[in-house]
Formats: sequence, C-alpha cells, structure tokens
Amino acid sequence: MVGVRYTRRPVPQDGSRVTEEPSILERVAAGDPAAPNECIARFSGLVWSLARRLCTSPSDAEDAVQEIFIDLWKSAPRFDASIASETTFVAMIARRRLIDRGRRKMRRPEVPQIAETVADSRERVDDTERGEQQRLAQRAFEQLRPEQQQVLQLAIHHGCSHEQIATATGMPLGTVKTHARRGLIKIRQILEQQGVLSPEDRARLEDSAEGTR
Amino acid sequence: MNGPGRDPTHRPASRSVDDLRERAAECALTGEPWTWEEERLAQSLGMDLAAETEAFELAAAEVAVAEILRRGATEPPASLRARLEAMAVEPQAETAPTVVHPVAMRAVMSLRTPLAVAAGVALGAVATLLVLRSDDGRRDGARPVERDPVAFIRARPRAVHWPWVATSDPHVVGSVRGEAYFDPDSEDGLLEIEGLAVNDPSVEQYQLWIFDAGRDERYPVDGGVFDVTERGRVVIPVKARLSVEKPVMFAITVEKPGGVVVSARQIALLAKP
Repeated sequence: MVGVRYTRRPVPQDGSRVTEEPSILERVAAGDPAAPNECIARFSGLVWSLARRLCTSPSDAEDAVQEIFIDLWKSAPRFDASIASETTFVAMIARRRLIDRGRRKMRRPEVPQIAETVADSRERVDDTERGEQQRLAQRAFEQLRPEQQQVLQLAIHHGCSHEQIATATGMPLGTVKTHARRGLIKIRQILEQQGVLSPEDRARLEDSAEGTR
Repeated sequence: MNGPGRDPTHRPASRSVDDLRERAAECALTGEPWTWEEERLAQSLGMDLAAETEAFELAAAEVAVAEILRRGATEPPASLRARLEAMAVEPQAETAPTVVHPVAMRAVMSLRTPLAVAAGVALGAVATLLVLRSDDGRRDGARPVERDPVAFIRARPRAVHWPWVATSDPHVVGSVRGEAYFDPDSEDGLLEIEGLAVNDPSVEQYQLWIFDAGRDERYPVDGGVFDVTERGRVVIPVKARLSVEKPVMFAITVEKPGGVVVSARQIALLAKP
C-alpha cells in the first residue's frame, strides 16, 4: 500500500504495550460487566480534560463526555494494543467526537478562554498515567520548529481552527495550514520511528478489516 | 465545506502521495472531509485515505495525551461521573457492532411533491412504504434483515449494491465508504455508510430517498429518516412494503427532524451503478 511503508516498531523493553492480560477496552468489547466502570474510572479524567479544552462551556463538555464514553464502548472492539496504547485510542476517539461536535456547531473555543482552562488544569496533577510513551510524544513535539509547535499547540491542545490560529498569530492562513500539516507529519514519523505508533500492524489490521467488509 | 475553489488556500487536487498525506494530516486536525477528487486520486494511487487520516489522528492524540498528563488531568464533576456510571450499567446495549438508529418510521402515503436536488432537478416523495427498520432488525414480526452485507448478498443473489459517492455537503466527514444494498425480490436492503457526520436529532436528521425505474424520477420513494450516532461505519437495515421494482439510485439528504416531503437541501450521499 502506498504511503504506509515503515519498519516494525521495536518490542517494548518493559512489555507494557503488549500483554497477555486483556485490556479494559478488550474486556468492554467482550462484555465484561465490570469493565465499563473501570473504563470510566481510568479514563474519565483524560476525557474530561480534553473536553474542557475543546468545548465552549462546562455543560457542553459534560454532554460531550457522555457521548464520548458511549462512542468508546461501541468502538472498543476496534482497539488493538499492538497499534496504540489504550490511552491513545481513548484520546483519539474523544478528539474525533469533539472535533465533530465543533464542526457541527460551527463554533470553536476562543483562545483567551482556552488559556484560562489550561491555567485551571495546572492545579490538579494526575500521576497515574504518566509514562514513557507520553514522554516520547512530548519529545517529538519539542523537536518541531517553533512555529510548528505554536500552530499545533493551538490546534491540538486548544482546539483552535486554522482561521483562529491565523488571527491569533498573525500568520497567513496558508502558512498556518502548512505548519500544521508538516508538523503533524513530523510527529507521526518520530513516533513511528520510536515504536509508539505501529504502522505495519495498522496496515495489516486494515487489510484484515477490508476483507470483512 | 472544503470543496475545491471554496478556500483559496486549499489545494484543489492533490497531485501526489505526499500532497495527499499532508491533506490527511490536515483532516486529522480539523475533521474536514475529503473531496471526491482527492478520494479518487488516492484510489488511483493505491492509497488508503482513511488509514492515513487515522494514523495522524493517533499521532495528534499522543501529543494531546502527553500535554494533558504533563499539565495534569482534571477529574470530572461528581454529577457527571454519576451519569457516566449509570450509563455503564447496560453498556452492551450501546455496543452493537452495527449502529442503527432509525428514530422515525415514516409512512407518508401518495405524496407527490418536488424535492430540489443539487442538480436542480425537482424530486418528490411518493408513498413511503420503504421504512427504516428498528434496531433489532425486525418490524411487525418480519424476519430480520442481515446486518452483515456479505451475508445479505449471499442470501440474495439478485440484490444490487452500489458504492456511496460523496457530495461536497459538510455532513460528509472523512473518507466515505460503504454501499447501498437492495434486493428487489424481498424488497429489503442495507445502508452501509462510513463518512457521515454524527447528527443532532433535535436539529436535523438524515433522510433516505430511493429512485425506482418504475416511477417518475422526479418522485423518488421517501425511505424515512435516521440518525448517525457515532463517527465511523453504520449499517441501517431497510424494508420496503411498497414495490420497488428496480432501484436505480439511492440518495441521502439532511433534513429537519422527522424528515420532509419537500426538500431543497443538498444531497449528502448518492449510490448508483
């Protein structure tokens, strides 16, 4: 397949991403009655934090979080620990739902509101999920050019549209788009080189999924 | 909303895999849909746009998670947590492999009113006896329609199935996949769709229209309304009670809640041979 040529990711030294024990999402998919509550306990902080950054109000964020967990339980059968961690998968589903909501409503959070949200969240630190994978992602982000970091900071962390970023930074819209695109491509390349994301397994999974369609 | 020519900074037709990959990155960040031209170009290049986009979505998610954890995640309000836990009591009801939410069974009889489509052709709704089926695939004791398209086709050798084609309607999000399946013998079918935005039923709903060779093309059969409650693949069983002798096209429009008998809205998806 064109565009998906990568080397296999290295086997994690600590075995943290490939385990014989079923993950929470795998147990949700299998119908384990205890798994949904464990899913809430483990990921509600992450999902809520994402929602607060990308939603216009707390009530909107609450609605979004409920939608996201329903979405997550429906999507649980698609989770594959060999491609990404549960946390990453949950964040992807959450972001996808939040972006869809934002597009539907055709409104985005304003930058000043986001700055306040970030300041608030700094007060509360959750140490339960901080791991090597997140450090690698942070390092990948820090390898970007400053202007790419600036654009992606606003796009990913604050949910700003390209137009809002152009207004906030004074960059031409086309420049914003270029920085966003190329910055994210760079991050993906770094993460794949580091084995955080596994394109080879992804390609195999997609081939398998195609066969079932 | 991202059709060529609408955005002066948007490159109208990506000319290479690298260009398409850049678009995938942009779509992952913004949720913008692919254009039809990009989809076709990708197919010609053997490139899976949905896969590319999801890879970038995962990359963006990694960065977002790292930032959240660096700054500290915030616990949700106790009231929200309680609602989530209440939802978790019966999650399997929400985890069906196919997501089917036809919420309004319409049976509008003998209406012949025009529906303006994108091409400007006036179409109308005729007797709606093709209805969207309930979640369990049954209606009034009828035998269930398979939700697996492969099984559906195997069981119905005369069934037609055509791929969906996206328009530039903003409700088309990401790469559109899936097909419309219909068996003229049993007069039931499946709508397998990936790439329609989740709709808010209090604001708008999707409406199915079926064009029959045996009817005036201005008056397609109104197939009822349905909701898309999650991004991704949905499968919607349909069952005709009026004869649809020879389906020639399916169309999905976006309408007010409950659907319409007269519509001027642009079609979101089309399926035809």
